[in-house]
Amino acid sequence: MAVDLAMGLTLAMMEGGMDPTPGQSASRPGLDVAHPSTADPDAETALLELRAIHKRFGALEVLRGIDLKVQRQEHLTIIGPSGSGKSTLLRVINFLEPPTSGRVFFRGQQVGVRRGDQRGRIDERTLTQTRARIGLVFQRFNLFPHLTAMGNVAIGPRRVLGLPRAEAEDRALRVLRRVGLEAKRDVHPDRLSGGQQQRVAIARALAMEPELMLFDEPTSALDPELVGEVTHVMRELAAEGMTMIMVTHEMAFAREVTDRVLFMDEGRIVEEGPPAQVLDNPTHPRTRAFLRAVTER
Amino acid sequence: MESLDQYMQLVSEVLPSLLRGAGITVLVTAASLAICVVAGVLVAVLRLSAWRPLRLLTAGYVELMRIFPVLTLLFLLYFGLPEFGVRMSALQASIMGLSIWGVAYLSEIYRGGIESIDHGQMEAAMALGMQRSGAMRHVVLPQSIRVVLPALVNFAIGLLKYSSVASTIGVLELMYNGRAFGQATYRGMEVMLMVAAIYLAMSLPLAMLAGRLQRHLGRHVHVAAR
Repeated sequence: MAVDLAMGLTLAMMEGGMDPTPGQSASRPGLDVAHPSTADPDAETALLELRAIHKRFGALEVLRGIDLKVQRQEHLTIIGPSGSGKSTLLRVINFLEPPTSGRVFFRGQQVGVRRGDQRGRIDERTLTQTRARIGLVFQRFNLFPHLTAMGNVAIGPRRVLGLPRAEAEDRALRVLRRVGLEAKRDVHPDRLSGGQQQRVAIARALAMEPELMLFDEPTSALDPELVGEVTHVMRELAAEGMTMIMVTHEMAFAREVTDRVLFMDEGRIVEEGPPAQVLDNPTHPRTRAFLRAVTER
Repeated sequence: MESLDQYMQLVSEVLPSLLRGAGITVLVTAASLAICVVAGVLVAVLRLSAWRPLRLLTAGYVELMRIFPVLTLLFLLYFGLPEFGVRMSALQASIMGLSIWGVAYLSEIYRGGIESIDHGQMEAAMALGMQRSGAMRHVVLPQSIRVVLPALVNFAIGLLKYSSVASTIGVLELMYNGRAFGQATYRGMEVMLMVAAIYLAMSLPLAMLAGRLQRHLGRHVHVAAR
């Protein structure tokens, strides 16, 4: 459309070349996606570390001092009542919600702060580079409705990593095959079931070849009979060694896949440990009350 | 009562000039529309910018244009600016005046379109590692253009009719020629009916185009429930 073109031009002018253009970003240091298995400069440090994270929305303090370390290939599940800060915690990790205070480290680097910056100012480009390595799957999918399944999966590699179109689509197709949706490549999200949409959303995140995947209640918006196809994909990811943090109410799934369960309440991690301990023999009364409420439902 | 023959004779005398005028009307409209469509996006995005002074500046401009008559604007440009050494033709002044007004108006339509897109879209794009500007360009704007399209075509039709103000500074467009011939022939009523018919004939295809485009582009995009 002429109109589309005109708008594109205007914005291209406004951006003043801030956006990665094909060819540039590939050579940009820090954006080459390394696999956990390959040579690892900071093998000693945790993949992710949160230190004294607080998050306040006006008068409401949603996170009240969160400390957390996540090792590579670990699978974490966060449980807790609604309003306990689980989702906010996930969104603080990639700074979709910047923490009010506290620091986040990813691969030993402080998130959003340029290497060597003593004052710790947030730098947007550093931040986007970190986000590109962390996949986030939303409760409500948030697929791009104007793009096909393939367009949704290819847009990250194309617009963020700067891959040429053919290469981005190749990669998108590979990832769609992985979630079993190769046949839906040309279908728009509004023609997909909820389960299929969520699998495309997972594929969209995977296409960036992330080192960490965050799942924010990925099955909560699904009809019960569609939950299985999504957890199946997640189970496979876990088996392949992807580092994962998920917020979920699927206790059976959490028990099976997870190394560590965190119970959150009122902005704090109240209890944590292996699923057998936290889910079956919780020590904290609030954990017990929550689990009782969940299983009775 | 005049006969049909007399009326047909009037039509054949006047119609060529009216059609020439209509051509100028289309020129004025198309030129201002092109400017509005592009610059309107710019103003809309600036108005949603994170930087406060920019927001205030654009908001001030949009508010001013809302309360300022286009006709006054046209007179200021055409008769006022020459006093400061800036001269332009009546045609240029009318295109500029309509654009200055229309950009503000259309930017509000765009802004509504941008704000109607669910915030989760911006978040999903940023979670992939896009910068705000890239997310705007690749994710939000392509969706909002579909939402905005019907209002955009309405704006274009409005602009077509509004371009008649150019006749007041002597642009020889449809309305000007209509008035001139009405006075010259003492048949103002009949000529003006012809002018009206020509405006209608130019607007109708636009309105039909709007319907078709909307069906085509709106297939997959649903406005977020609020």
